[in-house]
Amino acid sequence: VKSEFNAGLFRTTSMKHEERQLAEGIRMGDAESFRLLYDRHAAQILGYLLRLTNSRAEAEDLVQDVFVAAYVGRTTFRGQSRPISWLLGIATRRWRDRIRRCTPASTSLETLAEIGAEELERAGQTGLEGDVVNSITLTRALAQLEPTLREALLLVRSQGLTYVEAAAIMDEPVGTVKWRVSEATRRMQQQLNAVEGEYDEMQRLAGADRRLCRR
Amino acid sequence: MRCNDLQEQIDAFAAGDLAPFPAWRLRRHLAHCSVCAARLYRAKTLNLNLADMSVAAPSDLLRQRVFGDLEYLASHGAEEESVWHGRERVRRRKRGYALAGALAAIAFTGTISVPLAQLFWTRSAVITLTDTTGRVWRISGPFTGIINLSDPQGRALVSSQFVGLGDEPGGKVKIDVQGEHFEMYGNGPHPLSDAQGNVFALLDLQSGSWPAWAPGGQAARPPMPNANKARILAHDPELWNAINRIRVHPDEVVGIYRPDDVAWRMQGTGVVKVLKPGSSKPLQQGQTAPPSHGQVIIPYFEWTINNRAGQANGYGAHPIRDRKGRVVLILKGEPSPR
Repeated sequence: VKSEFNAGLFRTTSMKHEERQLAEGIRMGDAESFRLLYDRHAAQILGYLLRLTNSRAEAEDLVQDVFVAAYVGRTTFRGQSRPISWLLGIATRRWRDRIRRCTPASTSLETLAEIGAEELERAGQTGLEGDVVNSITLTRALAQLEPTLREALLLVRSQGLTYVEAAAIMDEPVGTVKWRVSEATRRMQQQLNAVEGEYDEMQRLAGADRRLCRR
Repeated sequence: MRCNDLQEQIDAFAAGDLAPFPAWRLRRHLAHCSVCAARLYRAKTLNLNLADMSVAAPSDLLRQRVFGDLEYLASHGAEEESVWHGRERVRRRKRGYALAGALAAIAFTGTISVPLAQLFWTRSAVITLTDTTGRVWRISGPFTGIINLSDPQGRALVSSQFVGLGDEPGGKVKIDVQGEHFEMYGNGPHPLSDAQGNVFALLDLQSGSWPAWAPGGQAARPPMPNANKARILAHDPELWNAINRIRVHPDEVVGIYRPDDVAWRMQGTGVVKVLKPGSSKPLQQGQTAPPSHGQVIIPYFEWTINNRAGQANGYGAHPIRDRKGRVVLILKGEPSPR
């Protein structure tokens, strides 16, 4: 079984020439490089933190902290990892600091629905109403995962990092990260299946009602 | 191969993480097992959905905040950077205290034209003011965006920015008037009235970080649900005296009709409350279009005035004026409880 994950384990990501130049600019504290860094990665960092915190305001606060911390700690960025991986690492540590300092406020279902409903705009473009419901269900299922599982799942499956990169960010062995991703996926599937079953049952009942009305 | 043992491999396969030989074995199994094929489909859908939610559009305000901080650090050199975190907290706190102090010194007596300096940069920012009857108002966050305070004629008194506050886009302002607490949210002017019911100031909220789909945003509006609606009627030139005549009828649109031919209609999914300016106690309340199963709670209300589409939409307080421009009632939209 161990070898079955090797493909993912040892998948490596090489830095492009452009990224190396960006890394060099960041180390030098070049303002233009930071502007580029923000333009390229702010949306991704915000997306990641939004799913971790379930609060847009808190996620935006953290994004601000991340870029400031990146600027302050720019000399420690050796350019051995991709900039996005470096930023996600900072974001993860900032988020952990925050939940250590204060218990995160419980998020209401309405707030989660609002976060999920950002997909409304996209659905408006594609006309797929089902996608909106999926997105909200997914957001809720994510919110119910334990923080460590959520972190691992988001880093690997959502942000597309390799297990090695995610392990470096989470400061855990690769095997632990693999297990967390697998466990998080299993729990998400369970949640989604339950909702799907409930929805099917509602549809079935609605269908039965309609048949009765016709008679 | 036993199907129950394959979930882990299916997840890895869906993510492209399975090594070639186990992947080949799994593919062979999938060719004749519809249960595992369905599992694979679900795993791939989940991965696609997770990848879809990897980004979120940052607001312009966030960009300003980030580069404001970076410019500050760049101009203060390495020493400042090394102790940034500690100093920044102190700096923000001091700014907040200074601001609160400055604002507390301002009293609203009749018409006031003292323009306030900018900068509501901290969670502790508070506006304190005294109205024409001597009551002290305390206005605080959480709110993200521009706040304009003007006199009843709309002349600007304060225009400033709250940044990074609150737990939802835009957020709300909390108001404490000598023991009475209420909240205001939603873009647009919110009238503040003194103990005698006279509007002495307008608090205009302009949220900076509402996403495009939200009330203050520009997105295409979602379709109106065809469910229960409410109707409110009032026939009296002096609405203050006609409060007890406002009624709610299910299955109709909320409407307030006045003898001077101005009719307001408000519809959407949620709770609609009718309030006196400056009061939090609803005179009347109606539930419009409760969300059905699976339906998104749509933060959307629409106004029409004499059959013309109104400018105000979205949750929050919407002042209703008579033809002389006096605020006579406030119609407030809130999300439906699920």
